Order: sequence, then structure tokens, then C-alpha cells
Amino acid sequence: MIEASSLHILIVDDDMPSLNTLQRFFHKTDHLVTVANNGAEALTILKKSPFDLVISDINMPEMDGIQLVQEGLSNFPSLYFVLITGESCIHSFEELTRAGALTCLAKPFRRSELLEIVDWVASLKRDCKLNPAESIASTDRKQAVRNEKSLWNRDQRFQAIMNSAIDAIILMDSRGNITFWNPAAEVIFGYKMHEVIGKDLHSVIVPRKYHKQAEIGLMEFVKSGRGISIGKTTEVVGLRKDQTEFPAELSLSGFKNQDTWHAAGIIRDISDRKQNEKTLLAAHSELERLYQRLNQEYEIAEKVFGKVVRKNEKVEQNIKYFLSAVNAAGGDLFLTASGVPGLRHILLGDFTGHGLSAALGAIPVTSIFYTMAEKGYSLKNIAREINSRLKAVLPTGLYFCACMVEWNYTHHIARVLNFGLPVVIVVNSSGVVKNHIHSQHPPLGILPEIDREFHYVEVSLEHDDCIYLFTDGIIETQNTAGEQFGLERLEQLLTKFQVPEQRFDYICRSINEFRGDTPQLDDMAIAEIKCDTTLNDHSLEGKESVSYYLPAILNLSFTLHPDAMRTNNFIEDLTDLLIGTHIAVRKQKQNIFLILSELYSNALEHGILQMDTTLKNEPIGFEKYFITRGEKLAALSTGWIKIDMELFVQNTNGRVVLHIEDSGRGFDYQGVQKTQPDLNALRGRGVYLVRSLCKEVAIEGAGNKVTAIFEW
Amino acid sequence: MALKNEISADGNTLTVFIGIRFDITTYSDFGEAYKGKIDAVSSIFIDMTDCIYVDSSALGMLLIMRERFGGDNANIFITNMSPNVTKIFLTANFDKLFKIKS
Repeated sequence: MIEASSLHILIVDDDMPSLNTLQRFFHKTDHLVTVANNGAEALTILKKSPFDLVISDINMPEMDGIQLVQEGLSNFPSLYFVLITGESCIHSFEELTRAGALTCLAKPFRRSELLEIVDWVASLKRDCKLNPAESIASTDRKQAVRNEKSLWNRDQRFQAIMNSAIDAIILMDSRGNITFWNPAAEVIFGYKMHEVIGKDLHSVIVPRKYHKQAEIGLMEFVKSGRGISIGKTTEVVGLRKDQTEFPAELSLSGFKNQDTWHAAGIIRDISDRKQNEKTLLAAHSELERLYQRLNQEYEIAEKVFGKVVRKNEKVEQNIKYFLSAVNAAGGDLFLTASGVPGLRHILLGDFTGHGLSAALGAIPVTSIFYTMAEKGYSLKNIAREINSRLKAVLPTGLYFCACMVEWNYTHHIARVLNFGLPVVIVVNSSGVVKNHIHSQHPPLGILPEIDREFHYVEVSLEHDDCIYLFTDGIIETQNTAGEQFGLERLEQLLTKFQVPEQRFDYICRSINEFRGDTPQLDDMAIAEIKCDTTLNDHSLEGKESVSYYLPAILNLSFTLHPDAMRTNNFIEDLTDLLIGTHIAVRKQKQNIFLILSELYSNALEHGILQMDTTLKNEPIGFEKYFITRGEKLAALSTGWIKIDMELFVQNTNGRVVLHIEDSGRGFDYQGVQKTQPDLNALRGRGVYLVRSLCKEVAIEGAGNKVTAIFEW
Repeated sequence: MALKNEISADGNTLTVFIGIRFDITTYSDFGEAYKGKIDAVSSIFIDMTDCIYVDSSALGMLLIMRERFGGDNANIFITNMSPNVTKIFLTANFDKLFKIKS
């Protein structure tokens, strides 16, 4: 082209700063620029002189850009219009070009972009001049518009992707300079686009320590388009405008543009992800640590539990039981102890839940059960005590379902208390169910007191009758199909299996088989108590381990001084000592206690304290007697009581010889009654009772020595 | 330690539960168990289920209670005695003064 492509351009914008900026864009160019503030002014100017191109903002008051184009074209058909669209532009490219605009340029745009369009317009004009026919020009124009439209669309799409990406998209040319910087890059790195375009990429966004590496990489890349990071995603460190570093993920690729290699990089800030990884790792180690500690504590608890909850050392052959706990310390319990001779107490129970928290409740229950049973308390009172203790100790929501059975070996009667177990089943030797004993009372540990009206269910038993106690863990055992073992199945097994001696083993095996490989979900316990009329007291008690064993012939001798006399339990402890020596003595404990107690009281009150026993005649006197006794005993400083005992036992027979001597003055024993005292007389009864029990009672010395011989 | 005692629902019966021992050391507790209820109830049950050890002071205390409740007019039942304790009561002819129930 011969002529210089300088155009006469009219810029229209109602916004002064924009107008000025646009005008400045053309400073170093050959184009001639005029400005107008609004559409009307523009049209006026157009009438005055010939223009080549109008660049106009769309958003203008009174006459907007579209109207200007329409007006302008109707007056000056060969004029080119370029419209500038802002963010709030509601018109599509379609609309604008149909209105007559050649093309549009979206804000924000670069000077170079605008100048490119202007150059294009210039080239169009040149081509147009070579072909004066207006129709061709307009065809060209249409074609141009079509090309431009597709370009614009592509451009718009490109813009949309670049602008909306969350990750930074950066282009670098072969010199290592930044040629493209999307909005996300602005956010991630902190630099605005105009701050970095054309700058050396590495010195902007790569931390100094990696510069050397980057340079080497760049040199290689420029030559070959290849590099270790090209075509891959790698973890790198990025540098922000504020000079802070951050972990980043980089996807790098190369492309050729006019024979030189350019690089395109997509950068993602992974600080969050890194932080999350760190947090997760820390949480994981914490979890590991807690787990270790929990395991250790569990081991310790199991050791304690094992020591505290005594295993049943003495379980008779007619009692069988099976316990299976989910963990080593379980919440199901089976206890047996002998009460008074001829009775056996049995307890089978289930704490809510399983594992350590359930097992803890077993400790007070075991302690209470054994202690009270050994002392001879009745089952109901043991239950009462267990209930109170659990109520006090267990948090709400935890309780103890249990069944307690008092088994009378002499009369073959069982008395049953069911506190919340599913059911207790009594089956005879032929497999016929004799009783179902359902729970009639809430489990232990819920009510403050056991219901007054709650009574034993008494069952008379014949030889080979069996009582079955079991916890719900048995019934709720699941197999691999998720089915429950169930009460019906259990009853069927109880009734169908015809060999009574093997019935229990058969049931236990069946339960285990049913469960198969399914993990055990809950603690379970089941017990069988069989009535064996051939067993009796002797054969049973003979199997008990005695807490301490002394020879069947023994002498005991000791002297009590005032401090010892002040202890309340003395006679009871002495009796316990004696009965602990031999079974045969144990049976006589009540008689032995009575004799000891009477003779001791006699020595203490008559001899040492010198009480006036006539006081005992009247109710008021008895009160006074009691108080005086207490006062005198508390004040006592001298005196002694000597007790000698000889014990002889042979088989079930035995003899106790008891000498008691005190340091008192004695009393007139000649007048001691040998016959039964008046029915209503309050005193003298004790001596009479002793005499009625003993073979012989002799009073010697000044009345301060008594010998009694008790035989059985 | 206090002796457990309870009044029946209709308010006419007092039941006192004796512990393992019924001897001189039980004196004050026993008195406390029926104190103040003398006029209120018409019959008394002394439950001896747990009682193993009994001596003459127990007999004395029962007599005193009987007297306080009207002597011959008193309606007192001794229940659930063990065979040995029953023997002691019978030896003392207490079956003539108290109603004995098992």
C-alpha cells in the first residue's frame, strides 16, 4: 500500500476519564483523533468532516452507542463503527453487529487490542479502495463481520475460561517473560496484570533459592520445548508479591508460536491442602497415642478385675455354668455361695452394655454377695443391699438384670427372684417344662428400694429337675444371616434333648455353632442348677474349703482387759473363730453363741461392772440398766476376764468346755434359780437358758468362776 | 446401725427386721425401731429371717416392748425364726407370750 494507514477517528464517551484514556492510546500513532462527549455532539462533528472510524461507548445517556451507530450509518454508510462494551452490557454481539457495528471490544482491554482493530479497519479501507464497488465492500464487510464474530466468540470463550478459572494461568514466551496473566493469578500471587506483563517470570514468582534450577530448565526448554517439568504436574514453591512463599501445584506445557517455544502454566495454591494433610497426620498420631493408652488402661483394669471378682472356687457338681464375655472383663456375672447350712445362694446377672464400664459394676455386687452370704443373710436382704449399692453407684441408665436363687438342699425347694432377666425355665428330666418364672420386678439399681410386695417364687423340685438361668446375650446371639438364636429355639433344645446329664453341654455347643464366625456382640451367661436328691448338706459342705483349719481338738485361752471388754463384737468374733474350725462345730454356732454370750455378760456385768441386776425388772429400769452399763464400761480401768475353752470334735459329735473367771467379788450364787423363772420376769432367764442347753453348769469360788459343759 | 422397719400400707402393722445379732448391743436400735409408733399400730411383726445370734437380753427387750404395747393386749408376731432360735424361744416358753409364725 502506498498511502500511510492513518485514519480519522472519532472517539465518543460520556465518561471523561475513559475518553482521555482512549485519546492517549493514540498519542504515538499516525491516526487523527477527535473526541465527543455524547451521541448528538458526535453526529454534529461527523457532519462537519469526513471520518473513517467511530469508536464509541455503548452506555451513554440520551443517545446510546447503538442509536449512534444506526443514526451514523444512515447518514454516513461507509463509516466503520466499533462499540465498546462494559460489564453491564446487555446486548449480544449479534445485536450490535446487526445494528451496524463492525465489531465490539469488551472492557477492560489493552491498547494493543484496540490498535489491532484500528489497523484492521485501516486494512479494510485499503482493500475497499482497490474495489470501489460498494456492494463488494459490504460483502467484505459482512464476511469480515462473520469472521470477526467467530473470532469474537472464540475470544469471548477464551476470556470466560481465563477469567473464571480459580487456578492461575500464566503464559511465558521464549525469553522467559510473562505474556499472559489471568485474574486468578492476580489473586494468587498478588500482582495485578499490568504489573507483571513483560517481566521475567522466574524473578517474579519463583523463590530465589530455585532460580538457578529454573534458568537451567528454561535454557533447555527454549531449545527443545522439553524439560523435566513439562507435560507434568509437580509440587513447587511459589512466591507472592508480599514475598511470602506458599506450596503450589504446577501443570506445565509448551506450545510453539511462530517458531519459538512458549510455556503455559496452570498454578494452584495448595496451602489449604497441605494444611489439611498436616492436620490429618497430627490427628492420626493423636489417635494412635490415645489408642495405645486405652489399651494399657484396659490391661490394668482387667488385672484388677480378675483379682477382685473371685472365681467360684467351690461349685458343686450339680451346678454348671457358661460365661462368655466380649472383652476379657465382662458385664455378665455368675456367683454362688453358701448361706446358712443347707442353703446355697446363686446369682446370675447382666449389666447393661458390655466391656469395662459394665464390668465395673460387678465389683460391688461380688463383694456384697459373698460377704452377706457368708454371714448368713437371707437372699432377699442380699438383693436389697445390692440394689441400694448399685442405685447409689451406677449412673442413670445403667442397671443390673439378675436372677437370684436360694437353693435348699435339705427340702429340695428353690426360691427364685427374677430382676429383669428374660425368663427362668424349670425343666424336668423328661424335658417337660415345669415352670416359667418371668421377671416381676425392675432390674437392680433402678428403684431406690426393692418393692415390698416382691416375693420369692417357690419351686418344689424332684430329682433331676433343672433350673436354667440365662442372660439376654444368649437369646440375642446372631448368626451370619443376622438371625437371632431366640427363646423358642432355646426352649426347644431344652425340651427335645433327652439326655439330662449332657443337656447343658449340648446347649452351649448349639449356641456356639449357631453363632459360627459372627463376632460376639454381647456378653452372655447361662447356668443350670440340677436337683440331686442324693446330695445333702454333709456331702456338699465337705467339699468346701475352710478359711482356716485347726485340729479338731483344741484349747483356747485368753484374758480380757478393760479395752478389750469395750469392743462390741467380741463374742461374735470368738464364735466365728470356733465355728471356723470344723463343720460339726459350725452347726452349733447359735447355741455356742448363746452360752458364751450369757456367761460373758454375767462375768462382765455382775463381776466387773457390778451392776444391780434388779434394775432389769422394770422397763424403765432396763433402760437405766443399759445406760449405766454403758457408762461404767466406758469408765472401766481395771479388772480382767479370763476365758478358757476346750473343744473336742469327733465326726458329728462334739463338746465344748468353757471356763470363765472374772476379777470381781463374785455373788451369792446359792440363790441362783434352778427352775424356770416367772414367765414375765426379766432377769434370770439367761442362766436358765444356759442350763437348759448345757450338760452341766458349775459355779465356783466366790461366784466369779463358772464352768459350763456343752455337748452335742 | 438402725434396724429396718416399715409400716404396712393401711398403717396398722409395724414390721421390724432384726439383723444377724439380737443381743445387748442391739438395745438402742431396737428401741428406736418402734419408738413413737406404739399408739399408731395395732399389730407388730418381728422378722427374724437374718437373725442368727440371740441371747437373753433379746428376750428381755421383747418383753419390754410387749409391755409398752399393752402387755397381754399386745398383738406381737415373731416370724421366720431359724430352728435354733425357735428352740431358745420355746425353752423360754415365749410361745405363750408371743405369736410365733414361720
